[in-house]
Amino acid sequence: MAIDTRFLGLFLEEARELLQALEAGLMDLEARQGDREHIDRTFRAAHTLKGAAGMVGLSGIAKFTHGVEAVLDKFRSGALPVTAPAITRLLQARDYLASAIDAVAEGGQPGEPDIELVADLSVLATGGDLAPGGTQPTITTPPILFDDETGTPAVEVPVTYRVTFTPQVEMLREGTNPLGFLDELRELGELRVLVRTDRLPDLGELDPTECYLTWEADLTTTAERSRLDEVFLFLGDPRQVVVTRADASPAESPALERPLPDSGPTRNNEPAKGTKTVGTRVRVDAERLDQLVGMAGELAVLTDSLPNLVGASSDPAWSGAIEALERLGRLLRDTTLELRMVAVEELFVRFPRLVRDISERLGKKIDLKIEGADTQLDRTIIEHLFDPMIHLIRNAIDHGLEPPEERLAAGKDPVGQIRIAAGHEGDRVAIRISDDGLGLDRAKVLKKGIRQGLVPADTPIDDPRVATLIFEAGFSTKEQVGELSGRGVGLDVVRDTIRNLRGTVSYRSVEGQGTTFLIQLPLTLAMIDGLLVEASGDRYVVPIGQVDECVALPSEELSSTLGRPAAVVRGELVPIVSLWATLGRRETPTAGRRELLLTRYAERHVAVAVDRLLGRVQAVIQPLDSSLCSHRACFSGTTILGDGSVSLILDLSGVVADARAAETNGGAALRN
Amino acid sequence: MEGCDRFPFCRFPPMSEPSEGPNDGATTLVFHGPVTRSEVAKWHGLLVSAFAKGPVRPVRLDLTASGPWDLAGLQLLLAAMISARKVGREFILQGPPSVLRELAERAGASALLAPAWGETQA
Repeated sequence: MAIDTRFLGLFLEEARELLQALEAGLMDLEARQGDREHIDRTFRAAHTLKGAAGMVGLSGIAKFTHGVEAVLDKFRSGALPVTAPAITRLLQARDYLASAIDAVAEGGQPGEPDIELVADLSVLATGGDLAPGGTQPTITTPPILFDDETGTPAVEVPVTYRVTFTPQVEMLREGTNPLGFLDELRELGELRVLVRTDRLPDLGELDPTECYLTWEADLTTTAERSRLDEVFLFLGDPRQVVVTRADASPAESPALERPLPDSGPTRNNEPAKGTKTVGTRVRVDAERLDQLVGMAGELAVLTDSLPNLVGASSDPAWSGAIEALERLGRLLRDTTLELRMVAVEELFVRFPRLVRDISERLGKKIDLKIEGADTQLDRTIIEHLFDPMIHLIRNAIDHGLEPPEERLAAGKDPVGQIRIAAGHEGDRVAIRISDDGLGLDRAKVLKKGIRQGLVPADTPIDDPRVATLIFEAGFSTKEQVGELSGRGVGLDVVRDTIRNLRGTVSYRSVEGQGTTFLIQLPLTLAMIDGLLVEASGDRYVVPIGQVDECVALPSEELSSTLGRPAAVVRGELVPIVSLWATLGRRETPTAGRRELLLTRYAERHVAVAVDRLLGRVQAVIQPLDSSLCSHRACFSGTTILGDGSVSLILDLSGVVADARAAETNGGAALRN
Repeated sequence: MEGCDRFPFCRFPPMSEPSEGPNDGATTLVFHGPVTRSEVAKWHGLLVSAFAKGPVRPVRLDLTASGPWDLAGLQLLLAAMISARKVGREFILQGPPSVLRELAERAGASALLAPAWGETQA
């Protein structure tokens, strides 16, 4: 069967969500044995994926997923105990599906699954168990290659069900083929189908893109009754299907388990009285959403300047309209900004699997606790946060938590704790990753720092610089390079990634008790609070978060150190970087004083000199076209100001880095 | 084969116009190519105009060169057949391709369409 490309994009999106749900479900299966609702949810993820793959013609993926589904069905019926080896195999099956779906997304073909994995799933699907090492079936049964789509019958006596299927008239137009459901029923047993034309209008009144046909089907099957329900899981409105026992007497019949639909076509927008209206969601292309957010932000900036126009007319209707427009502009901006927000759960849901895999590999026992998963963050931030968080979690497991025997010897619970918690703190989101392991060995860090020449040999152990050594590139205290960490590649990248998201990362560690890393992030990347500054006659926006302090110093208080400009600010000698010089502009003569923006670079203060501070602005960030300027690293984007002019948004760390590079090239590096 | 009259470079055959059959006075429509959700509105319009032609005469659909088919196309056939029956008009499906027969079987519509099936495509 050829791949139906019309719905492939939707399928890929849905498939990734389903795989995430499947993984989350599998992760909890061991702990929640007997929790019927949980196992049903996990089963449904596999089942829905199978159906969706089949509908777009990805029969290989559908067949393989059927194998996963069959194993989950065994769990559900109690025919197979939930064991760690079985869960591991199912997680590996999920990984195969993820790679197959990625291959399809990239326009390729899904690769073949590992033959041992298929064999193990076959053993599990027939109720066999795996040896702890996996791939060693404890019973010998011919492997099922999942061509037997009916699965293993749980009920041996065939039963005939009458299925009345009344699809919503929009079903065809929405791209769902009602026959797909009948095909799925056919997989469960012997199906006799009769089409009904009761609601088919005369030819002249027919809208040929709507579905007026209904069906009555008798299914004789040994499958459990619940398997029939699962066939119709995709249906938004369950009233479209009624299942009754065709071979039972009316008294015994569980007929009309779901009420029959009202006569006439059922429409999505006509819910029956008393039914709960389910909130609907629309998938929107992220790029288009960003465009909308950008436009709404620009509109708000423009409407913010409208109060200046109130005096342009004495007509009261004029001022009323201006006020209303201003209010609506802000409302539109705030509403569209909210559209970019997603719960961190989307990110956190991937961690239990990671912790399980790593702890298994390292032979450590870990209890992972996740809190505040409903905290919302800008979608772009969440997309970029996965790698740094993974790094911190790996570090916590590999470097932080001790093996069980060491923990016991230290009087600790042999099961290590890792806690990931998110929450709002002021106008920022804080994410904490904590472990109750060894904590940071400060003496070891210092020794390594001295050996690498990062700090002077006489640095005392309580020097604040010791704490920041772990963020230096190439720094690692791990004696042996492991598979997971200890290669000295990482915390500097973590810090840089978080900085690029306009966030900060810090940590607190108590030797013997554990370490907590704290990531603080802005709620959104779409808009910033900024300072409007002027240099060489041009205006720039500087994100306020990058500025520790604004200082105005008389020119005579400026000094120089080793030939480079500097200033003493509250006793601290601070090097000065001139914005105009860095950007290759001409210096503007100033009236006896310098405006300095104090920022942090490599944990030290650096002052960026500008001509004038013009005030605070709220700026909607638009991406920067890299062809626009030669100092790309100095800018993080552009914005439109209230007067309609375009301004570049500065990245002060880029400005300082550019200045530093220029000095290095010129033979006089800016020293930290 | 002549091109479609709407676009000079189109390689698809022209849309069928209702024409009178040679012997039985039936209005004959020739269905070429896909009869699926995307194209069904076109075929629907054609059928409606054929049915609008009075007096009541048989309607023959030549399906020999039609396909692929989907449920929307099948539904259109059923609607046409039922509408024809209501006014006592004979409705003939000539040369239904095997893909249409299989679809009808899958949808449980074979028995309903059986009286209208004419010759099967070779």
